[in-house]
Amino acid sequence: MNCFVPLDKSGTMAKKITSSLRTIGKILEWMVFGMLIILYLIVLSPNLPTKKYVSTYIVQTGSMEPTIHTGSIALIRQINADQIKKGDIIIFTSPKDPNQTILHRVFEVKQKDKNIEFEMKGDNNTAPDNWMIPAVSIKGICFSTIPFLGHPAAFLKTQKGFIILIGIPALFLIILQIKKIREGIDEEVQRRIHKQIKKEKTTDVITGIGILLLASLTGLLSIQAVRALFISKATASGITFSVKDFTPPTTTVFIQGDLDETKNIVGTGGWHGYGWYERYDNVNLRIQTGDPFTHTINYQLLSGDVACPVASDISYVTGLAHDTNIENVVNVRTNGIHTLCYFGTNPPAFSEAVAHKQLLKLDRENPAFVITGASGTYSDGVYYNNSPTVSATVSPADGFSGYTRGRFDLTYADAGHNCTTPVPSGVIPGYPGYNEDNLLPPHLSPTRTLTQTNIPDGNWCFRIWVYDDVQNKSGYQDVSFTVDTSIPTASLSVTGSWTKKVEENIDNGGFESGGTTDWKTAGNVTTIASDTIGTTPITPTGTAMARIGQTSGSSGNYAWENRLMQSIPAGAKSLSLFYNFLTRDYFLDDPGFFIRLNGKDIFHTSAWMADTLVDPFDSVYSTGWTQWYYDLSTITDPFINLSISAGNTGDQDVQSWVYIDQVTTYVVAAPSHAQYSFTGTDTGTGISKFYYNIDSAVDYTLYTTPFKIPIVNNQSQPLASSNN
Amino acid sequence: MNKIFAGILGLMLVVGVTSGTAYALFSSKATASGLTFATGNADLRIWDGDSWESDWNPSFNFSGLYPGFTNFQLFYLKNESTSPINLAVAGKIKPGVTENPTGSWDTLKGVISVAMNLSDDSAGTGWHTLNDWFTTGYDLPGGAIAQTAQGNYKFYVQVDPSATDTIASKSISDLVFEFTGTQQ
Repeated sequence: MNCFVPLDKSGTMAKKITSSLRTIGKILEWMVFGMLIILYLIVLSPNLPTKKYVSTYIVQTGSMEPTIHTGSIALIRQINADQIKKGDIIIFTSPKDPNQTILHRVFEVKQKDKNIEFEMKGDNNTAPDNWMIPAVSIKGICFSTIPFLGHPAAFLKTQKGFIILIGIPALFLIILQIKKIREGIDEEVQRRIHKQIKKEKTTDVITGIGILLLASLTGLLSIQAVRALFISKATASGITFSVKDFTPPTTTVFIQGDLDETKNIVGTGGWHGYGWYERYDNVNLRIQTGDPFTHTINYQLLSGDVACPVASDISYVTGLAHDTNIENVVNVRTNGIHTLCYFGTNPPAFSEAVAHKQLLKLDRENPAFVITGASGTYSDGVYYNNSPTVSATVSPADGFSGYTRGRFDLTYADAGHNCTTPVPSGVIPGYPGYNEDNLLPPHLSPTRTLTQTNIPDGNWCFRIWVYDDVQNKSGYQDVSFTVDTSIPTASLSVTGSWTKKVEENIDNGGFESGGTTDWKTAGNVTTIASDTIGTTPITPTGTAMARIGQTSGSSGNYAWENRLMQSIPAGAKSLSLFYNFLTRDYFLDDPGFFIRLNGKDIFHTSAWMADTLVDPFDSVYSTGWTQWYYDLSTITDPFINLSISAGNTGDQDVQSWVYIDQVTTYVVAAPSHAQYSFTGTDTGTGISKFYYNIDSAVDYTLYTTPFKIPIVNNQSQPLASSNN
Repeated sequence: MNKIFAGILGLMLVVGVTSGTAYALFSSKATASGLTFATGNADLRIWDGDSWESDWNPSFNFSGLYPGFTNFQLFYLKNESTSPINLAVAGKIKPGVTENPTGSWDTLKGVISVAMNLSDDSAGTGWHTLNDWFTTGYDLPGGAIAQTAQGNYKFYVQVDPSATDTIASKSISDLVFEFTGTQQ
């Protein structure tokens, strides 16, 4: 028997033994390391991100025996309180000591107000816990347990346990790792000797980077785990800040009002839209731009046309909704103008800067009027007109709207001038059954004249009334009138002792006896049968007339240089003549024509009467044939020297002149004892009155004839009749 | 070389795990009659109206703002740390916001101010613009919140009364206020 063991065999055996020991050592090393990791996870599980799904707690008491034994590890996951039901085993913070965490079974689930509360009980306890657990105290539900594993975990919390279970294995592992590092260094030396350095550099770098990353990750995880112990964050997210559109709204007012339509004015000229109403149907305050549902309107109503207070004034009524109708507020106001002030607000306080102003005008009052006159001659309540066009003047008054219209209805009148029935449309041309002035407001003058044309002869009435722009209507007043367009004729008869003497004291007054015979002349005076100025013929009454002055050209005489003169014997009571004065120089010939008696200027006319002429030097102005009278009875001189002059005044250019004809004086002597009678005819309304005058000074009116001259005097013409 | 690095790695792992476990075990002083939990950590929660959560979303909604607007909403924070640590809380706006229209953040960040007071208004942060809350952040009043204690606050909002209508109809949403509780 060979006692020697071959070296190679014994070396192989030793290697086998060494290899086996190394394998066992590695297994042991990994077991220790795995145990450390498990303990690490158990200890840190409540703090790891996975705690939502699973965390561990060590059961240290027997309150849940026999379901959960002392020393077990309870596996917990988070749960919403409303998912917990009776019988679940849950873990919660002790209401008595926030440092205590308790694992008990749900004995009862109770609803308190809107919150859930739980009554708990340990399985090994005889009675439920003497507290109610709110939802906020629930930490999670126990879904499984690991028996006995809690003992070593609990043992860990002791210094002895930590040294035995953590410290010694960790020291063992640290020694192994140091040993491994030392072996690695030795192997590295050998490798470098065998020139494998270059090839393995790359592998080493990669390995180094991997190890470094892994080490960093491990370190970070540890740091995070530790850091999680010191810092926690909660967030209030989903925060919203939303600024509203705080632009102030704009506002407007919608107005609809009523006229006094109950008056039923036929043919009214209509409402003119000047803002006056009898009442308002709508005074709607509206949001024009902005939000009609949230924006509001403020307003106030003031008497008179006044300025609106500033928008911030507390006098405003606030908070009106869009389209609010305030007609009830307006309609109780008195007649007159009221100021509506309004503005919009974007709550709470964004308002239009300046209040709007709207005048509201209420007029429920009827206008009044007076008749200030009518055409024709007034007598005993009747206006007598000799024209078919009749007018009446009214002066209305209205305290408010003021936009009055005058109006009349034409009615028939009986013989006593009593107004009867209205004249229908179509009877009188141009009369549609009523008549009113067509003045459009605003009427600057309240007085206006109502006129009706084409009225036939007869007795009539104007039934006049006025109404205002709101159609408030006055009462009516009648104007009675007569239209008589026919001209009466009259003649005078005298009975008794009377004489009629005509004393003509002017010789050759008609210039019919051969030129200026019996007249004295000076300057440019001549007699002619006719004349033509421009295209206008000028003819005398008879066959001749006198002309004083030069008709054209320049360098004519002054007026006082042209004279037609005659001396009139005493006894003449009146002087009459016809003249036709013409001028081309209305500008300077003032006077251009004058008459003097005994050197006294008793009549003159100037060129100024023609001041409407456009061109003072190219146009001719003519007075036409005009009769002129003068009372001579007051002149006591034995002779009356008549002098008639015409011509230039300011200068001698551009001429003025006059034609003279029918110069006469005569006297009618009528004794007072004689009886005079007028007779006449009239195709119209008949003769109602006769008129005469004496000495052209006083008019006398006679209603009946015969009559006597009321004064003893000479009586002069004309005697006339009239039908009024 | 592999062995060297593997050894170093193993050393680091062992040291990390050991030290972490040691801290977790010995920093917690919690005890319980029925149970003992293994360790504790800082845990700041916000009440979302139903339960204490780490995030309350949606939280504050201030609509219909206008110049001069002032209002507040209450909010509650709770220290639910599993160990008896006090948390000092600071608030700060996190990056990221939804704008309507675009540019609203720039328009509003200097006009809208936020203050956080204790619910009895006995102390507060003072007014700071959203921009200040974003760039700086401020400590909430009342000191640190003790473990299991609750802090009641008012979240005040004010719009600059002198703001012009350029801010009208501007809106920012999805803004996040982050409250960080740090152990004292």
